[in-house]
Amino acid sequence: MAGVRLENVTKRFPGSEKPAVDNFNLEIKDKEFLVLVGPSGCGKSTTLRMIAGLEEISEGKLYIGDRLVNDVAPKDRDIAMVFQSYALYPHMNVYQNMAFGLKLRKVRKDEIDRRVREAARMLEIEHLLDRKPKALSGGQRQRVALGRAIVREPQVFLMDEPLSNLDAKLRTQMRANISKLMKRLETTCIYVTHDQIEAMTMGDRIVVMKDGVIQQAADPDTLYHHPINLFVAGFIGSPAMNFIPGMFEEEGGKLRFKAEGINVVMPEGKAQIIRNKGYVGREIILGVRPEDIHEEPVFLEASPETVIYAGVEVAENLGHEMFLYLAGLGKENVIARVDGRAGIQEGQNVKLAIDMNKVHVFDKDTELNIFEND
Amino acid sequence: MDKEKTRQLEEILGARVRLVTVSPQAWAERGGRDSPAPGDMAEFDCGCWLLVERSGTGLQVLEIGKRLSPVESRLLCWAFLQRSDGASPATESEALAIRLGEWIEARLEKDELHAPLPGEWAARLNKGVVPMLLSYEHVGADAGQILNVARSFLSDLSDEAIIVPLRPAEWLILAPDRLLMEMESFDQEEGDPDGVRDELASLAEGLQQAITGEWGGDCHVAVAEPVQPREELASAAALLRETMELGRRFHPERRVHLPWRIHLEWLIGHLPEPALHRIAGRMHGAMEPFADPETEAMLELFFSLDCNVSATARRMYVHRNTLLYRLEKFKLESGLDVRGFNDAVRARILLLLYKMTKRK
Repeated sequence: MAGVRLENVTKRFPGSEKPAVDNFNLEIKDKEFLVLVGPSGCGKSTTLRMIAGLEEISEGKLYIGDRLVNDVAPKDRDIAMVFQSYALYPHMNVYQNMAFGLKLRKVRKDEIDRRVREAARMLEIEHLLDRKPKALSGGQRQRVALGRAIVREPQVFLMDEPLSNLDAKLRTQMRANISKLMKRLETTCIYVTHDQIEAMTMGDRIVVMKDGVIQQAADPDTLYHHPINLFVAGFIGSPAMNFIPGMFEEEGGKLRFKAEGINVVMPEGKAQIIRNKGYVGREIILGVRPEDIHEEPVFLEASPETVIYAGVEVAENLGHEMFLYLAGLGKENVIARVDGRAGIQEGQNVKLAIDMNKVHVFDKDTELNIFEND
Repeated sequence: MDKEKTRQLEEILGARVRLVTVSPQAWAERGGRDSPAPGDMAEFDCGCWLLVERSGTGLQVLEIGKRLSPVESRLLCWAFLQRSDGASPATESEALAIRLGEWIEARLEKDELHAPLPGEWAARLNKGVVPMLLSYEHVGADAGQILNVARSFLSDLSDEAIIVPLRPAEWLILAPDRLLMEMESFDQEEGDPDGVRDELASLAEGLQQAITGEWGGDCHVAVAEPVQPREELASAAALLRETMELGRRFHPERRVHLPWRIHLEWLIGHLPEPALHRIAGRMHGAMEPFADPETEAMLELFFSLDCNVSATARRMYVHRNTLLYRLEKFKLESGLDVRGFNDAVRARILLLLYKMTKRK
């Protein structure tokens, strides 16, 4: 078993001015399930392919365990890959598909048999070993692709959007299966996805990437509650965080946040930080998660200085919760997540309150979260 | 050394001959010299060893079950060194494949695409084959080991697959066409070429990923429908080579190239240079919107998914409305509404023209 270390890793493609991956530094611990997440083109797949040995590293060093592997062929890196566009070998049955890599390595037949059958058992595909890929469903093929990786008993698993080709229901099911499997195997896993829900539910630690650069690397809880910048704050969480441009003003000894349709008091602890960092009177962006905007009477009574009034443009009722698209608070719709039984309808004017203890403040120019950066 | 050669040598020498691997220590104990080179001999009471090759696992030696006379020893060493100096192929099959490759190259050069196979191959290649072209480039890669992956990939079918070297880093693979039966393609309704093509595409993808997964590097595979090699081998090779060249030119992101997916590319790729420049000159303004890589990628995906907005949006991980907005933006810039058939065809042609002229 081994960790992976990337030191100042950069990837430049010919003809491209900007690096696809820029000065990437990360240490992945042994047995860690690490997720690389970000929008299309952010460099997450390129990073994974460099770790796999499918892309040359332009600059920097890559270690698997203690071994420098920059110039080591994929087959000698002791890794196993499951990629989005995995191709099962159509002329081989499931057993042969899973055994192929071991056969290439001249592993003994009895050992091949042991590993294949054990992996098949783990993946609940023992009954499919004689079948050809054509006769398998999408979920079964995915499990065979996983099985092909598992039998290699690698130091590191690399997975690049392995669930993207599956329908939503199957994806949710397979997500849980993969998580369970990786815990059982106790092997380092680096998983790439564009889906932040997949990232949050699967990763021990998540690396958010944008334009080839790491934005933040942290556990899911930290990323959600302490995003380091506007991009991370907006990327993690569904629905996304609301961003409201505005300004802080001193009034009657209290610090107020003022924007179109909003005039609310900051709690003293946060207010002090804002003052100390010189943000009073400067334009900033306030970040509020939908679930931190409340309609419950108890909250409204307890927090009269954070009340807002808005019109409900759209109300999406999901049963257990409801998303309200509010107008009159800045240029963009602000989204509030309330209880499904609140009984609020489109066209209604509502009184809500913001939990100002949970808000984030972003510098308008640097987009950094002023509470999370010195 | 194949069985036939071993048998011949045993007859000549009147003793048992076999290929074994021994440790350097064992070699030294049997009187072999330090740091032996291929062709060296270690002689002992009941036999001798001729060193064939040094490898990571030990010394591969030809073990002869009797002590040789001095003349026999020298003759055997001389014969072995002739083989090594000439870098001759280890087997007759490999020699045959090399000659076949030379024959194919000569036919392609002379444009004799339907020349019948000469006798020595006609007997061997008397059944249908699935032709595949493999191109692999990677600094430091060992061609032999790459081909081992390809052989292992096909070995479950049969040992009848032939790998024919063409240009450097390019091989023509001829797999028996009964592999389509192995892939259960014959479960398809008769006359369902799409089913067979899908299977062939899967096979090519599998081979490409099997090689890349082991060695990394830049590996391209083209595959064609089965042919009868007696009269169609050269034309199959020409088709595959052209498919790969056009595929690499127009779709550099692809690694598997299929002749049934490059019709427009073939048409535009064969335009005479003057005509190409004239057309490109007339259409220069219209091609400007394609200069944006994101627009190019979006259109490529849109066309590959039969202009299906929902499917394209899903693959791009954007909302359907976002894609519609981008298509509308493209329409304003280019005057082409790619959601309509005629404009989609025109845009596709312009995109290919743009790729041709961009790379010149």
